[in-house]
Amino acid sequence: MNGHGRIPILKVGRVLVVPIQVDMDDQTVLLLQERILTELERTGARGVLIDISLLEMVDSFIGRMLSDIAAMARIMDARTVVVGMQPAVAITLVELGLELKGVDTVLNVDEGIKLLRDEFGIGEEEGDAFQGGLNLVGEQINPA
Amino acid sequence: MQSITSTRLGEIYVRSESDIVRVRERVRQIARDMNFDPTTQIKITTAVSELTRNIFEYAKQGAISLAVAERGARDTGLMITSRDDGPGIEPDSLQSILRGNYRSESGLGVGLTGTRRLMDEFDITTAPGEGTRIRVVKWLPPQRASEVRSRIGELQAGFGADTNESAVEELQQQNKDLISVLAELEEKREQLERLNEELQKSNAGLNEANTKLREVAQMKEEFLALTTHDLRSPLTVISGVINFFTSGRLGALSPEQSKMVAMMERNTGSLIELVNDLLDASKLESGTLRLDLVSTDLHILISELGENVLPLAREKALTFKESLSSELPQVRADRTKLRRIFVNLLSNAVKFTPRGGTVEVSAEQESDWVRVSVRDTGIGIAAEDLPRLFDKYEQARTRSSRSEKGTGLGLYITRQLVELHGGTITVESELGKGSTFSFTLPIVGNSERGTRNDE
Repeated sequence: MNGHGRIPILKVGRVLVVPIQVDMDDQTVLLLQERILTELERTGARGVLIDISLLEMVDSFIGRMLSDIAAMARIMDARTVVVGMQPAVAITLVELGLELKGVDTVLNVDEGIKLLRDEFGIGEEEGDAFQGGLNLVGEQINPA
Repeated sequence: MQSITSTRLGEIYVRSESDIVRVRERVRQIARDMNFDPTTQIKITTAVSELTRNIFEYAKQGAISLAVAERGARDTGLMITSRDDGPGIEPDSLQSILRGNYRSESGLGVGLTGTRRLMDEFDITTAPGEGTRIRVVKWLPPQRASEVRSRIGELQAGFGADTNESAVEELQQQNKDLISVLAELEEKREQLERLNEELQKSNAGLNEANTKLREVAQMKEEFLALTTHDLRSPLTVISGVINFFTSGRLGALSPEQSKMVAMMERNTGSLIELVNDLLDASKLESGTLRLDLVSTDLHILISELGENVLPLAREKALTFKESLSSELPQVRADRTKLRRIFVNLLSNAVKFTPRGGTVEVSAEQESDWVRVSVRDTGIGIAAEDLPRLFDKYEQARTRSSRSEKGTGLGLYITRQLVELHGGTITVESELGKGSTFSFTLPIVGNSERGTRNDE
């Protein structure tokens, strides 16, 4: 279970899209954090869109990681949006007493891209990229 | 959470970070199997994630156990118990954590409070150095409860089947536990051995002391027997010589001389009595005293004794009464010893009865026994002195008679002699009112019952 291979980081225009599809152990989470920052630097992306629509659980550690990523990305002049949080996860987060500090959340990927584009004009310059499909950066999506 | 019972489903050990994910998956699975709704499944999973993370973070290792909780006839839910042998939590910190004031260095400090909010029941036991045990329960909606209750066996089986991957780890943990238990046992065994050794040593010491005590007792008895025997011989000679004087064979004595000789005679008499007491006691002690049992008529014996006692009684102006039943059967007794019994009791009665009192001897048949009583109107005996009255050297301590002469052996010997005859002796007394000693003797024809003269 070498966790770092499991989570892809996709570059869409000037946005890094991170679809989290599996339950992550702590090492994977830390590694992901590092990889996102590396990719921000390498690609000069202005936005990070983390899709947690498949994530069924956000505990205090993962919540903290999301906040941390947002804070670090902000320092690197990038905006972070978390999209697709399941209602049950949202309820749980609130009951847990966890605030995702500094993290913007929106309903789905579309809304996320729109938010990033509308508010900051990012993702527009390479708008063509959407036609050309996704640019994969980092590791390939593991089909399994 | 008192009335909650639980049925164990299984246990997952937490020893590495990847176990956190494993626990989450397993708990999620169970929550799904128990038909919790998806939101609740996520709440439970999140809560367990927090608990497991705490174990790993603070104690490095521990265990999460899952159980079906039942309360009363209807409530059914999932119970999750997290335990570790970590450093535990100070009571003050615990209060602050549970109030939500605590901020841990590493996290947001929401673990415990969050877990408490996510679950229905929350119970924590912790103390510094004693690890932490947290028990949480999430109840099912009532309409699903009974269905789950009927499937507990199935849930257990399902959990068991899934544990293969961690079987090795569990075995390892169990091995570790076993080894530590063995080590503990070994330590206890060593302690026991040490204790045993010490016990044996002190036992040996006790044995030695015991042997010495026995030797000393033996020596005492021998010494007593020897000295009394040696004392008696010269006393016999002295008493013989005195007889020469009193018999007048050495010529008439002046009144002054007669008085002196009478004094010598009296004192020699009491010395001989003392020595006899000691000798008897020593014989009784060593078990060498033999009885010469013959049929004895108490009427005759007592009237003989009366002649000895009357002068003494007269001296103190005592009334001496005999009230023997007329059809008294003969008793089986050693006459010399029986006389001694009477002399002891009567002389005590006379000794301790003030002037003008009464001493009475009575006897009557009681089935196969004759009961003899010696009653006086003397000073009596305090209740607390009664139990030890017949013990060796025991002259009642509080009696005003401390000045009275005596070895304190009289009653001891009396009781021993009565018991050698097969009888018993008892006493009733009241301070200031007088005492009654009564003893039993076997009547003739019951030799097989009473007289064990070989004791």
